[in-house]
Amino acid sequence: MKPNYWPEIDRYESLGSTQDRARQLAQQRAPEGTVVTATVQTDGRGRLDRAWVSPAGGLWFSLLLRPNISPAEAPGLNLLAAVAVTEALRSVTELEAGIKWPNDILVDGRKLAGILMEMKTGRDGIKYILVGVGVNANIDPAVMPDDLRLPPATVLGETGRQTDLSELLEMILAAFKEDYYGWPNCRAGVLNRWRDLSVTLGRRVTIDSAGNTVSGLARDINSDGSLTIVDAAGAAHTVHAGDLTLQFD
Amino acid sequence: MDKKKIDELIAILKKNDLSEVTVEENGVKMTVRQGDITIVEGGGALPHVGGHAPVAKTALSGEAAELAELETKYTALVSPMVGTFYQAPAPGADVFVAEGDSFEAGQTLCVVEAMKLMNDIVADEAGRVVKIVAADGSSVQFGQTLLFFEPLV
Repeated sequence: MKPNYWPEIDRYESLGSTQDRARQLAQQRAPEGTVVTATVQTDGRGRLDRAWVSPAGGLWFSLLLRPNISPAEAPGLNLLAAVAVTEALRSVTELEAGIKWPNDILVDGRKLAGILMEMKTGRDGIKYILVGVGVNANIDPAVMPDDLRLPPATVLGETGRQTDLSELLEMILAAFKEDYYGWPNCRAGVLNRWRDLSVTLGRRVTIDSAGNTVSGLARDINSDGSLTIVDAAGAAHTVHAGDLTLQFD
Repeated sequence: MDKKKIDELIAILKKNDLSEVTVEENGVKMTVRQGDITIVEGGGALPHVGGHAPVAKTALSGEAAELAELETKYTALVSPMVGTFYQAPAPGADVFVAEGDSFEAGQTLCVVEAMKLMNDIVADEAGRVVKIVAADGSSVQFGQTLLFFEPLV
């Protein structure tokens, strides 16, 4: 993929969700690299339409991509996005952020940031991809709900410091862009960085996937980004989707 | 399907570092996966064979015969990737389309999820859903038929 000019960032005070706005822009043929941010999302969403709490102080954005790759290669971009966000967060906040497969960003077992990717395909392949990113940055931990699937963490709560959201966004986009335009040739390198940042590999995990529950040791990720889990009987399972829980022994 | 075709598929698999490739030609469906090859005649249930390109010829069961008939009459919508198939945007939500529903070009028909990438599969043309063959929430393979539809002009 060749580098293109990426347009100016589209900044909003308040949106239902940056993903909804980016989807409208995509359908109006907005170019690759379009970024939508909102100070507040009133209806932020996670996977399977779960609510994502998005008060002021967080970094909430969506990035529009129109990659010239096959749909089967696209899930790997999710790992790439997780690496870009985690590396930028480590660099800006100095927190020991890590990745739970495939793309949750945790600190100390609590969720600091999340990524949601949405792709539209037709017979001719990918129409567009939206990468939605939410980082719990300058948020008082007391305002975060306590009934989330994973306990939340915020950068402010962990470090006691305010983060420059523009700087964080620029760093994430720069990191993402470099690997994105090298994709899929840079895949092996990105997967190795993902392994280095992983808090999943070598751990006991349980995954609920397509109605089946698999528990075992998370052994490695494969070239397509899927996860191999070895169960107690020594059988290897390859998992492509599902909710993963880390076991704390 | 001859050996040359199989070699070509293996080359595509290796070149693109894919986990599997499926082609369908004259009613014969062949999947080459890292480590094994599956060939199905008539698009029925999947006999699974390892090693070098054996051809599985099976008497068609009732279900397989029905699928074979659907394939000759209607258009198959296939999964563009390995993942989990969803008929609705969220658990408990209304399905995108049900059997018998008509749909417009550009309408989302279903979702396949892999690694938190939600892939909305969009209709290229207007049509009517004849049969949904993949089970909601089940794992689907690259190239697997998700549903059959009849294009409407």
